[in-house]
Amino acid sequence: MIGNAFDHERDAELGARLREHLEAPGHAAFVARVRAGVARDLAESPFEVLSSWLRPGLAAAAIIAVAAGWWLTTGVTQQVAASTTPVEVFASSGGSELMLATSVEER
Amino acid sequence: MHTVTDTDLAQRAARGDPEAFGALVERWAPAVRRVARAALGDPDEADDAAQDAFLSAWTNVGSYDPTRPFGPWILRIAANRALDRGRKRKVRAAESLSDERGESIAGTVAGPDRETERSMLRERLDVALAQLPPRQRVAVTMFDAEGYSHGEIAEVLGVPEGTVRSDVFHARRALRGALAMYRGGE
Repeated sequence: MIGNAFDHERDAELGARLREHLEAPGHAAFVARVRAGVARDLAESPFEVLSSWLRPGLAAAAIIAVAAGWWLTTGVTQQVAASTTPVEVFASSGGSELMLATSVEER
Repeated sequence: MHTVTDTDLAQRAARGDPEAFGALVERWAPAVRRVARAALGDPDEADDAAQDAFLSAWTNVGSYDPTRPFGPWILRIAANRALDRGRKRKVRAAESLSDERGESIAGTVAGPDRETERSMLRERLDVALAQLPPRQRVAVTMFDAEGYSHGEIAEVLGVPEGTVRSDVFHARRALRGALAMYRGGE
């Protein structure tokens, strides 16, 4: 029975009318729509994970490539410098005979 | 009575089982759609909001606390989605629509057969609901149609319990008034 608006009890009649009024048809179709949405979400998820890794992955690869390039370049330059500089210094100062004499003495 | 509880299904869904989640949708779609429709009025928009709510629940089912009932959890998501949509849509069309409907009912209130009466009753309820603020519609639907307590509704809507009591009171008064007017015209 529709009663006092102050009631703390459930109004069964008003409730039934509201339920009937708000009831939406096509329950099966709605459930199928949601299930399809969930299936789509599951199908898309792995690609989303991959695409979320793509950008940081590319950034990391670029940093590694730059670091490797820098290391190779500076490493080779230092090796070349270390092996050629004394010879060049001695040669330009006419000390090649001295160097030869020193190495002979060491033996 | 369901042999598998909502909590079991929700826990399976949280482990990525779409069938378990589908079973929850099957169970809760009627209530979720009613609450969304109470908030929004328009059935198609309500179904869009209800679908959004379920997909959001699927994504976030891991955050569901299995020590608490599933109903208020899913209805909170649904009510929030629907009320957000309603806020974005704003009152603009809703008010003009309710005015038009009010006029049409006033002109056709005394119908002869039972089907006409039922149809008029539906329209009157429609008008009365459309004139209520969305939160009051949700509150009275959850209280009288879905059987939730004031405290549970307060949690769902994120408002104090006293506000829910007041919302239910005002909504009931308006709806009962509308229905009584109809009865008076019988």
